[in-house]
Amino acid sequence: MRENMVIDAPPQGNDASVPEAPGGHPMEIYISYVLRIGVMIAAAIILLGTILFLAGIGPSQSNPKHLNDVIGNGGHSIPVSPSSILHGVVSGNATAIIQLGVLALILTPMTRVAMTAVLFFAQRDRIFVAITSVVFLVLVLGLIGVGS
Amino acid sequence: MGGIDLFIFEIFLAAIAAGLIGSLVGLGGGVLIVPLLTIGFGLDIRLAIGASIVSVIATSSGAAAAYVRDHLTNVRVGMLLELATSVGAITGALVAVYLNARVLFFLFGIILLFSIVPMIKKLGEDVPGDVVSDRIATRMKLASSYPNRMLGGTISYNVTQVPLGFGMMYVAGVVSGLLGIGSGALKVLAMDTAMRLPMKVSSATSNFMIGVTAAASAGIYFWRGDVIPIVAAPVALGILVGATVGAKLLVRFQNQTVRKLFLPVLGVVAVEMLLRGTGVL
Repeated sequence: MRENMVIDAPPQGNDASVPEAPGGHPMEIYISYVLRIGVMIAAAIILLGTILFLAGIGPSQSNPKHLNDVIGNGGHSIPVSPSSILHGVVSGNATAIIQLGVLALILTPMTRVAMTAVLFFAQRDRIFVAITSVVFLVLVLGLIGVGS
Repeated sequence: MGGIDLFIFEIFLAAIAAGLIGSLVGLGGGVLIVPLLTIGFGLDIRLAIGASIVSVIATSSGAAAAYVRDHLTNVRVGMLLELATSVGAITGALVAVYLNARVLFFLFGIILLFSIVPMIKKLGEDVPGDVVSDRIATRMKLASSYPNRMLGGTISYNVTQVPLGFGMMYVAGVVSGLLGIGSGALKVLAMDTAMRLPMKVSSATSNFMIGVTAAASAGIYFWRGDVIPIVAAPVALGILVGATVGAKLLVRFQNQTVRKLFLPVLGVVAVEMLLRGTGVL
């Protein structure tokens, strides 16, 4: 152990560094829940889509060597749009359901950031409300696929 | 089994391994997934990157939840630096279109090698001493403490060189968006060497930030059609299982053990990717 490791040291003017949410619950707990639940929902949707996909393909005829040979477009990008996902999910299409799960996964960190902004607002920490809001806006740009 | 269903099963198992190792060292797991899908399964590197960036969100969010709950994460430092990584990630995802596969392989190898050097050089420094918080860190109340699992109580630490760390984080964001990895190694490097955070806090905070960084560029890959559902699904599910187990193991290991475990694996993968980039393989 290093000699300058501080054990049981009194807080050195940094007792605000573990932010407390209103009601005395640490912010960490809320963030932990959002991440956990978001990932669980996304994983459940993706798992459902995968099971539907595996159930739908039936016994295998071919024995492909490369992954590129078996995915839809011979190893190239497959076009995707909000309407293709929506129609696919409604009609029970397995890959569209997986895509919905992927979107849920992307939304998980976004939800965490939005919630962190609210918690900083409750603490009247203006600098961090501003920082967190800007991060959220950048994520919105990413979500709508800016430039793609 | 023997066709596409076997591929899905194999990818799932490989992703479990990648998620386990990745979370133990504070990396997103993408650094192992991209080589696995390209070298191991013969997938186009762009599609490997697309599947990886999505899985990185799952790893990071799953493991981050555990670290945050255990008070290892510095939420304020993470939020501040996400400003740099998210903008960087979008930059990277937009630039990636203009680069060919060889360049991506080569950059991937370089990034991997680059992430090994500080791991060897600073092997085993868990808590840096004599760190005085800089002006920004003091103003933003970035200094904090974390629980000491071995001896009980808490370990306090300060934060320094915030501007340098912020700049390094932008680069980490670009690399993440470009290569579909969490670039946890670069994030840890910025927090470890520049901002002088304790190793465990760097790892946990890195994991915390990786999800947001990856989410910033994932939408761009998704709408571009580079996230193939039947590849992304077993990768995301597998990596999630591995990362969940890894996060439970991490709090019991010393950092040295974790690093030593991962170093040789990282080295072999880096050389392989570099050889692909230069056309030898």
